[in-house]
Amino acid sequence: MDKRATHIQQWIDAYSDSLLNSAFFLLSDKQDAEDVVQNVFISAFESYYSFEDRSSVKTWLMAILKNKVAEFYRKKYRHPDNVSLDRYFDQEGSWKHDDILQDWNEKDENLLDNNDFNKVMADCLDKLPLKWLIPVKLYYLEEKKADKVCQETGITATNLWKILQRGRMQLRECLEFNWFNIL
Amino acid sequence: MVKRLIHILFMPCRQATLLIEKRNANRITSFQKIRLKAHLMICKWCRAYNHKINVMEDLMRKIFTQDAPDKFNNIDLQTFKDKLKEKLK
Repeated sequence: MDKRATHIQQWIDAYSDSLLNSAFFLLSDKQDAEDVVQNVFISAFESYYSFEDRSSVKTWLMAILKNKVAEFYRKKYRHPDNVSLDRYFDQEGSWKHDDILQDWNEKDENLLDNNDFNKVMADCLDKLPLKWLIPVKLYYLEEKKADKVCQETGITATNLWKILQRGRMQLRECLEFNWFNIL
Repeated sequence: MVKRLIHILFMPCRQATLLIEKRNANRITSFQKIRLKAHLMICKWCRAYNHKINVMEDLMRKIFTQDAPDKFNNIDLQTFKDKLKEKLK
């Protein structure tokens, strides 16, 4: 085997695990995650000679992964439908319900150390359509660089804001209903 | 009545909550920032939302940037690696 093939084989051994888990986290589907990670290694194989150790291998592969996830998204959701906020706002754009006014007793600062809360949060995230959840996750993984997410996923800036807004509205409602109001 | 007044004077809540997203991403113009501040000053609904969004923003940032949990068992993983290695020889 040449040097390139040897390296790629080593990388497959070393990084498949974390790449697959990251891909699953983004896509919520094992088969999709495997397909995407396979594409990551194929890309790495093809562009091996342009890599030149500029960054760490893992960082480089993760960057390719984010790109491939965005590409996956772009192909799957080519025509994003209108993100509707009618559930929360009336025709004038005012809040429909007063439940937004209820206090959250979130003084417990380490909510994420609480297993019960983590479970509720995970369930609430699962309820978001992937069409919104993938861009929301990418947005955080890309350190909130909206331009980058838009460019990679093909979502317009206006739609990205709406997706974030809509996604968070729903998450807020779900957390409120399943956690904060019960406390 | 109050809601209606807010709508007429200081943009609808639907728009204010969108500006909150832009503000959190540092993508808000100075003019929008002033309008949002004014809106939040008089609108208790959006003020409550703004507070909850800040709590959630922190939670989401932490959850989405921590290491992803293990979802693939060793057998799946080995099968995946073997198949891929065969392909990229």
